[in-house]
Amino acid sequence: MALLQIVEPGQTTAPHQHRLAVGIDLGTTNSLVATVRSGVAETLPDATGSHLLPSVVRYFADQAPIVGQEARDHAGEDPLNTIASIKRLMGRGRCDVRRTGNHLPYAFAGCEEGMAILKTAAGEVSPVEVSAEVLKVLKERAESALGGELVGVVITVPAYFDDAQRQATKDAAYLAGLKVLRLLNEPTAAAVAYGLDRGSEGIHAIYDLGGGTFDISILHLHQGVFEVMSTGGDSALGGDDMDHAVAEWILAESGIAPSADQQRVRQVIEMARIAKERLTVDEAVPLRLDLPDGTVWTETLHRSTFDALIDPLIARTLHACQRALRDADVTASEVKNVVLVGGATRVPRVRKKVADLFGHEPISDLDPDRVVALGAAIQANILVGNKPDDEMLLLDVIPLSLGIETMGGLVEKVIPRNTTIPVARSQDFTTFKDGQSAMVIRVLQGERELVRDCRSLARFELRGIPPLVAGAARIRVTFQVDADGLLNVSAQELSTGIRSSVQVKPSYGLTEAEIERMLRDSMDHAREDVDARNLREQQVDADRVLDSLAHALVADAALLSQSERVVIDEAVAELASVRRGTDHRAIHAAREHLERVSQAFAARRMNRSIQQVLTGHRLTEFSEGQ
Amino acid sequence: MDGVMDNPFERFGIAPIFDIDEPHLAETFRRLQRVVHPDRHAGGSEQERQRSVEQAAAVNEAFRTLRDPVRRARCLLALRGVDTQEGVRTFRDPVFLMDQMELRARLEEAREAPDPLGLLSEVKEVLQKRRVALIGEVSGFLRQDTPESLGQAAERVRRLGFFERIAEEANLLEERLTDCLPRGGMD
Amino acid sequence: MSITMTDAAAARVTAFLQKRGKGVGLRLGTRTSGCSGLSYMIEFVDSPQEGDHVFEDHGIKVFVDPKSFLYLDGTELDYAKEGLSEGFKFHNPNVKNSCGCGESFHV
Repeated sequence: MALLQIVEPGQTTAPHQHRLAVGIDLGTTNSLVATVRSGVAETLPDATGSHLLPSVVRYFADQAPIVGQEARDHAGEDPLNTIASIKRLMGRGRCDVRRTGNHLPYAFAGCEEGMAILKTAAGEVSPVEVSAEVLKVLKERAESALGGELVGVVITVPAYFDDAQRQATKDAAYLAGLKVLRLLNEPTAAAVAYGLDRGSEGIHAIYDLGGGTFDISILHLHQGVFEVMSTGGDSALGGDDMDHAVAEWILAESGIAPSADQQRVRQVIEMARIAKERLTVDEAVPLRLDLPDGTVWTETLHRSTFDALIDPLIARTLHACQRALRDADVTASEVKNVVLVGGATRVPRVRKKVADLFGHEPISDLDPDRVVALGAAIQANILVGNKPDDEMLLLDVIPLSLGIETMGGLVEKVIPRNTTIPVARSQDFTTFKDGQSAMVIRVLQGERELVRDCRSLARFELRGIPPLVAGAARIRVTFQVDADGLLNVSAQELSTGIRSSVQVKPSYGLTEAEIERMLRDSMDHAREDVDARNLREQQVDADRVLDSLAHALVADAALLSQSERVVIDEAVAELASVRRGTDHRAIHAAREHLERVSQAFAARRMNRSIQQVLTGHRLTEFSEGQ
Repeated sequence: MDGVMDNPFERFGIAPIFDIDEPHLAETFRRLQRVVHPDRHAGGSEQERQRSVEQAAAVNEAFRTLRDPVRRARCLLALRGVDTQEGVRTFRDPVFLMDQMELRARLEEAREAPDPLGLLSEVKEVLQKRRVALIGEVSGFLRQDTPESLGQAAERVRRLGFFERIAEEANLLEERLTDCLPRGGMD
Repeated sequence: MSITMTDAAAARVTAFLQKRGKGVGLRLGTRTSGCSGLSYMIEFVDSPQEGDHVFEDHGIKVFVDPKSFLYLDGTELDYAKEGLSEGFKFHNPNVKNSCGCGESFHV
């Protein structure tokens, strides 16, 4: 017997059509899934009662991968096939891997250009596929806890993730069979979970130090609107780095060569992690290590030594905080609250340093491991339409400047960092040869002036430029960043109005064809039917469109003429009827048809709402006797 | 995109004047975003969501223009058909040019100085003073709204542009000095 | 003539109402739909409707519209955990058969 949840007034849906939505915190070390039940956000445990899912995947030659605690427990025995901290490789290229290589014991496949690929017993896997395995486990957990198919998910990403890292996260969700409603920045999610919109107007700072990423966001809260003023951080700095700092110290003190075998290095890192955790409470921890020569090494790690080891790491986070404050044009004393998020903020030294910088004690009432997932769940619940009266609105920013390559390997910024998203900006280009019909534009993300110091996101090839004399063609390229922080590019030749086709070659991402192939492979593996998945996806999409249109028709029927209404009603009936069948192509076609015929209605509704805002505004202006 | 032809004042339903009610502007921004933001159309069709992204981007862009006095002035001058000719026209005013050179020299000095941050904040203070004074003048000229005064306003905006570039350099230098140039994506 | 709640259900409802921060009670009702005739609904109540039957149990006000009350009289609301799932359950003496999913039923 299904168990029921309390819903908001008037939001009862038909049976089996609950708008089930979850928030997922896809973390470097651990991942979580949360949902809103009976109005309360809560993380969902697995069958053993554990909420945290270690983000560890172990691959085998002849069986499906194992995810979570069991995989982590065996990391020491099978280091090359047990993949942890994969978040650090999301959207990363080969060269990036070489730079962080000393921390990552995996075998990388040779592939000079493009994204990092790992060699495992199960063959070559990309970080996207590894993350998809973690997401699949959370999806199953959520669907069995909620008793139905998920309509959509909100997945959190570090605010400082660049476009390639965000796209990789979205691809992983797609592979796992999840519909992403929104990629939400982790600090913003934490602010939502804290309910900072209620009764805490003003400026707040969210300091989020996770397992492998650091974010600082300065937010301005006003009447339910979370406006991010600036964000900063380091997408490769976290609690893991503290473990490595301690591990290096242990290796040096015990005289073990850092080039020792992987198994031993892993063992020392694990020892360091446990010591770090104990030092949040204890002043000192005893260490004990069996050496290869049969002797035993013992030592005591005092908190003061530990603090000295991690101070350089904390200093990097504080620099980022100062920069974020400067970008937001506020001083530390103007910040009303500092909220601590992420497991690594349990370290007393971190708390002290943050308190010193901002001049008051930070807040950490909510479990720093869960708070991000809880915020994501609250946002997911709103996005699927379960709380239509909610006034909450999240306005985020782009964390790193977007630019294009110009002459001499220089970067010209098109959209500077900390610009509120969504944003669209255009840049005009011209041809330099007579009759030139194509050109290549390289897009970069980062703050530095030289191309080689920035992250190359993609190359765009513009084709179909009309043959004109050199310098006569004017091609306007529009860069659009959506609410997820993802970039989209379009181009138009202005003198003739011809839309140039844009072919995108992501530098570190997966092409659509690669994603489709991975999807097929994973389904072969799970013996899942591609058609069955397509059908479910189309049904969910159809329900979403029918549901939202039904609400719109109740609210704004007056915006439609009788004949327009008839056309829409017919399309609704058609979609509702094929929805009951099993032909996913027919459902797709009927949905697209309905969307087409109701497009003008949707546009009219938006314009009417805009007009209402503006006229309401004018009225108050007059009443104030301007 | 209708971004180019967009009149930010119209988009916010306010009169095209320089001295605007800033709290009101921010309030209208939030109310418009509540209506157009993609999160308000998560259940809509592909086209509806795309339109919402475009509308939200246009609202953001208009707000960016209106909230900043220099951008707002540039926009008002453009609406009145006055080209500020920034980057085209040079200055002949020797006092202004000296001031510019001196500020740049002090920035250079800061690079090598024993207390670079202190020197930097002095430069920034001067820049801020110049900016406030110029904005006051721009406001006055725009209010007079004669062809001559608009020309004067354009000239002040050009000056503001120069100071903005120095301020940008100062910020960049400050980032270098505090060793917090973003390491984003590179390590 | 009554609608009641188990201690477990009352404790959860109280907690949920408190967290929500507003609302005067709980609405239980039935709707005609589903695979087997009628289905249940549980909603928060911000403003009661005219003609509602109002019950109070464990200090919680329960609102039921007259039509739903015909099918719900004597119902006890319970809160249960089953496997990974947890939520509310209707113990309804009027039910003859349900669809097995628990969301809809026949009287």
